[in-house]
This record gives sequence, C-alpha cells and structure tokens, in this order.
Amino acid sequence: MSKRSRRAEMQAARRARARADRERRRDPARALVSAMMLFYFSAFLLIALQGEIQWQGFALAAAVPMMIYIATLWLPRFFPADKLLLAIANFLCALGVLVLYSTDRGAGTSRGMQQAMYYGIGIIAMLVCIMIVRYIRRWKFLMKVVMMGAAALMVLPLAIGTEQNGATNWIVIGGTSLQPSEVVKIALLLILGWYMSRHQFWPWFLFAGFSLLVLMLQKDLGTALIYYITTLLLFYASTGNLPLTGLGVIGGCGAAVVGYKMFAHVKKRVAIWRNPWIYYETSGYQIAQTLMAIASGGLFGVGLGLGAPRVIPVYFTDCIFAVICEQFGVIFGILVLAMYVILILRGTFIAQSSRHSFHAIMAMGATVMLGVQTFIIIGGVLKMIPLTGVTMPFVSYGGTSLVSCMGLIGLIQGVASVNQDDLTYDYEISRSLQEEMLLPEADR
Amino acid sequence: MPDEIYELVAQGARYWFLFLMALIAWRSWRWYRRDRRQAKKRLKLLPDAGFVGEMVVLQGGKGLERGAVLPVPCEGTLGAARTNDLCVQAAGVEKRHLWFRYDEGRGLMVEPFGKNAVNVDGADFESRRDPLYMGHGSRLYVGEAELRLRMFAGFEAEGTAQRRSGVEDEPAQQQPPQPDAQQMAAYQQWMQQQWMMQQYAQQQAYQQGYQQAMAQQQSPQPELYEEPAPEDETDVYTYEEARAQGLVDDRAFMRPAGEKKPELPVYEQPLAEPAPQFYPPEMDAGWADEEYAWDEENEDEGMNGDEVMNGDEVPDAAEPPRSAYVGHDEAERAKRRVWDRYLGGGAR
Repeated sequence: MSKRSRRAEMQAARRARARADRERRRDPARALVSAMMLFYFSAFLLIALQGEIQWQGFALAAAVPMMIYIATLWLPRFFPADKLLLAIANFLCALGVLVLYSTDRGAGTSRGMQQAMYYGIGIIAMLVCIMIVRYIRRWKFLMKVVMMGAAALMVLPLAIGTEQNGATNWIVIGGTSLQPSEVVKIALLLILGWYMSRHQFWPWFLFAGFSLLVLMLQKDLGTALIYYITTLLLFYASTGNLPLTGLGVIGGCGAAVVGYKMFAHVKKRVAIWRNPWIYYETSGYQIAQTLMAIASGGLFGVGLGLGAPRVIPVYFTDCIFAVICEQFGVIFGILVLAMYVILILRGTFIAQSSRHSFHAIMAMGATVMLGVQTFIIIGGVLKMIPLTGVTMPFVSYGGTSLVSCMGLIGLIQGVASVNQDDLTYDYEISRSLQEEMLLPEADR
Repeated sequence: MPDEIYELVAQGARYWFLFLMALIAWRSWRWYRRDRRQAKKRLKLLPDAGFVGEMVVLQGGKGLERGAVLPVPCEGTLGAARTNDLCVQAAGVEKRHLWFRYDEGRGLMVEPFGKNAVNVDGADFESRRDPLYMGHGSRLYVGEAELRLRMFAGFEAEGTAQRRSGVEDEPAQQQPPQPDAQQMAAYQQWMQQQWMMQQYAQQQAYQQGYQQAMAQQQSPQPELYEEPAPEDETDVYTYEEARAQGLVDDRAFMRPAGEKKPELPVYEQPLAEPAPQFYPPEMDAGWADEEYAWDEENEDEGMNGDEVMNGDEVPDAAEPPRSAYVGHDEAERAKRRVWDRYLGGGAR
C-alpha cells in the first residue's frame, strides 16, 4: 500500500472517530445522565466531608452515580426502554437517598443507607414489571388470580394489621413492615386496564369499590383518594363517558362531605389546613414547621446538610419536600416539581403511543397514580389542600412506597418497550434489507 | 472538616447544585420535546403505522358516502359518534355500536355494546363466548351500513371469514377459465415473436451506437457538452439525501448494539432483469377471436392504493392485501425478524 493511500485511510478513520464522538456528545441520554452523576457525586462527597469524614458517604458518592448509570444506560441494552423516564425516576430515587442521608448526620439513624438498599430492590421490581408487561400474553385466567390475591392482601391489615399515624394499613411479616395497599396499586392498574379494555364493567367496578371500602375501614384516606381519582380518570379515558364521570365526581364530593361530617379526624385536618397557627402547639405543629422550613430555605436554601429539618415531625416521609426546599431552596424545589411534570408528560405520551388499549390504560393509570400522589403530598406540604399521609413518590423514606413506585415505572416502561417493538416492526416492513445495511449502530 | 468551613463550602455549593439541577431539568425537557417532534415526523414516514386494514363502505348513509375508506386500528370502537375510531353515520347505528380488537392469527374480533345488532358475513352475534371474527374480505353489517374489511399485508387472518349462506361468490372471486391447448400454443408463438423483435431492436440500437461512437472518434467535435443550467435551489431533499447530510435523526430506528449486520446474498454476476411475466387477459365472449395483447391500462389496477373514489365507483374490497410499503411476503419476513430479535422467537 502506498504512503498516500495509507495517509488517506488514516484521515478517513480520524474523521469517522470525530463523527462518532460528535454523535456521542449529542446523545441526550449521555448528556443528562452525566449531569445527574456529577450532581450526586459532588453532593455525596460534600456530605461525606461534614464533621468527621464518613466512608459511607464516599461509598455512596461512587455507588449512587454508578447505579444511575447502570439503571439508565446499561439496563436498556437488554430491552428497548424509555431512557428519559428511567433517568427521571432514578434521579428522584437518588434525591431521596441524598436528602435522607444528609438528615441522618447527627440523628444517629441510617435511613439513607436503607433507602439506597430499597432503591436497588426497586430497580429489580421495575425489571419484573417490565417483563410482566412484555412477555405475559395470556391474562384472562391470570387476571382472576391477581384479583383474588389483591383482595386478600387488601383485607390482611384489617385482620393482622398494626396502626401507624391513625391508619391501620401496615402488616408485619418476619420483622418487616409492609403496606399492602401500595402493592395492590399495581394489581389495581392491571385489573382496571384489562377489564376496561375488554369493555367489561362489573369486574373492575366491584374490585375498585371493594378496595375503596377496605381503605375507608383502614382510615387510609390518602391512598383511598389516589385509588378513587385514578379509577375515575381511567374510566373517562377508556369510555369518554362524561355524564357518568361527572356523576362519579359528584359522588366523590358527596363522600368527602359525608366523611367530613362523620369522622372527627377529617374535621380536624380541615381545620388545621384552614389555619394551622391556632393549633401550633398541638396538631398544627407539623404543617407550621413545614411552612417555616420552606420559608427559612429561601430561594437558594441554607446549604446541603445544614438547617434544622429534624424539627419537622415525620420529615423523612410526608414532609420531605419541605426538607428539600430548606436545604436547596425554593427554586430547586420548583425544578424538582418540573421533573415530576416531565415524568407525567412522558408517561402520558407513552400511553398515547400505545396501540393496545390494555397497555394504554395501564400506562395512563400508572402516570395518573404517580401524578395524583405527588399532587396530594406536595399540595399538602404547601398548604394548598389538607395534608394527608401519603409518601412523595420515589423520594420519601419507605421500602414499600419506593418499590411500588418503581413497579409503576416498570409498567410504563413495559408499555414503552412494546410500543418500540411495534414501531420497529412498522419500520422493518417499510425498509428493504439493503437499506437496513445503512442503518447506524445504536447503543441502547 | 470543621463546621465553619463546611458551612462556607455548603453555602457556596448551593449555586453549583442549583445550576446542575437547572441543567438536568432543561436537558430533560429538551429531550422530551425532541422525542415529540420525532414522533410526529415518524408518523409522516410511516403513515400506515398502527393500522391493520381498511373498511370499505359498500353501503353507507347520509354522513358516509359509498366507496369511502376508513382505516382500522388494532383496537377501537365503531359507532355514529365522532369520538369513535370508526365513525359510521348511518341509520340504525348507535353512538357507540361495537368494539373490535385485532387478534393475531384469528382476525378482527367484533363485539357489540349492549344489545346492538351486529352481523358478520351472515352470522349474527350471539354471546361473548362465541365472538365474531372478521377476515380479509369479510362483510360487516351494522344498522343499514355495509362495510367490507380489507386487511393490510402481514395482518391477514387465516380463513376466518364466514361466508353468508345462500349467497354465491362474487364474479371477482371466481377463477378465470384456463385457456385450452390451441390458445396456449398461439400465446407461446406470440411470446417468441415478441422476444425475437426485442432482440433485433437491441442489436440495431447497439450497432447504431457503435457507428456513432466511431464517427465521433474520427472527427471530434469541440465542446459539444454543455454545462446543465443550475436548478432552482430549494430546501426539498429526498429522504436519503437528507440522511446523508445528517438532517434526519434515525436514532429511533437503529440496530441494537452488538447485533450483526444482516448478510446480503453475494451475486457473482450482475443481476439480470426480472423475467417478464404474462398473464392471460380476462375471459370474455370474443376472446378467442381477438388478437392477444397486453392490457396495459389494467396493469396493477387497485394495487397501488391511489385509486380515485368518486361517484359509484367502489373499490374491490376483496383485492389482495396491500400495504403502503411492501408485499405480504416481505411483511411476513420482517415480522419474523422482529420476533426473533426482540421476543426470542416467541409468538405474540
């Protein structure tokens, strides 16, 4: 080979490398994940240096960005996933780990490390849900089993449950606390999706009614509200029946009024919501401290690991958004809300793109459920609505909640991957084999 | 780190975290918007995406003309209201009359809402345990409307359409009578003549071209070639040109990493032109007396999907399955490839 041709070959190879580098830099997944990894690396590093050097912090500074990388860029190599949805869910999960770890310092707790462990379990739950949506095709018989299992799980707390924060919705199995209503969320979506897509009214109606009744008996009003709104919105999405949906809304409002008249604790919550400062010393203390924490954070926050978040009762579950606002500032809090909004928009987009109504309803339901839950808790923390005891999706401390939220993301991801399969099929039949040779190589 | 120094560092780091958070939110939003735009473009590239076939209106109503074609998605509802996937405004059709779902290998399942009447190829709907399935060419009767299903390539069901009892097959579906030995001999003779004329014409053209080339070599003309006038510059590219210039983002259609490129068959010799195919013309009364001729006007009629529907001209709903892109065999091959690649060869 002559010198000239070798030089030309080398130049061509250099140009190809430069082009590939440019492509890689343009990849939105890499750009987003690299910013997330940098955020968590610097944040955990900072926390690790607070007071005495903590090796756990250094370990998390390495492990959390690695988990984000694996869960967002590496796992989708095995199935066509929606990377944006994965990235946002992972970001929010890691934010929970960060905030809990920062509040652990000086409190002698290890919620941050536990949450990191739950995060890992959540990723497994998400993978399981993706597999369920992608590979299970014979739902007809299975749905009856799911329905019976979910009903049994729902009534379990009434029989062997323990009361926490006024609601009897926890069970303890082998020393581990579990909230069955969180697990049943996934089953509810499967049941609603299946029967609504088959236009069979009674099965899903009876199951949803039964679930709501049991939740009311358990006094778990927050979860009951999530179930009710999700069911109602899915009914409207699947049938477009406005009169019946309006009737459902009126019925819900009527039930709220009856609940207000009947239950003393509902009355109390509404009174606290209207003016928490009257009850500052007693039941209004939590919401008052929440508002003070957000105000003390100001626009830019007091700084990571600083402030007094532990003054707020149950700061690690219900009021974690106030802790975020206190440490990082209100602008940061608004941006976190923006991430939730993008997640919801993305979920809706995936549901709209689905060609099978079972998948569409399921994805829409998971999105609505996450959106409603976020609205209920953040609205409660910001005193827009009465505060009810639900967790902030992905961020709040709690294994069951995190695993169930990741399961919901798994359902949406499963639908997204089926959509991608359908699209690939369309594309395949629209292109000849010769054209396929020209396709660039992807790194999904 | 001492508390005072940590406090300073943490307060300084607030802005760094805020900047990174803003960057993350901005990039997420931009990614989301980009994907929305790409989805719209993709829909333009794949106009048939999500549809399994078409319903041809054989008999409609006031709001639905005869000959109209309604695209059929995988799942949906049919009724008189506009919110339905298939809006059939005819007498006797309820607002939400029936719903349908495409079942792989079985056809389009049809089930009415409530007690609405539905008839497929002469069979009435009786119960959910015995659902009605429509295949390629099946007729659907709802109210006073009559629709016929024409499925796209790759979606045809295998013989699920039930025939209406007592109704004979239409002339279009009858097999044309085969020509006898004498007709075949005449046809073959005509083919040979055609072939010889074609060879002779090619030879003549070659000789003529050779003579012209020789004449040009002997007396070269100065500057015979003129630069073509530059065309108007427009922003219109073909898809391949746009892709070559990097204007099209094809990332959604990329091959998964690690997957080998498909092997193309290697041809030692350049591919020959496909052999001409001749079909006997349609039989009519005076066929034997007429000279056999290729009917170019009727070539591929109804196969290219751009037939004009006007007046009483109703497209033949029983024509072979079609797609905007490919034929049946290629669609089947593509389906197999997708199954093997993403579903481990399993049936969906």
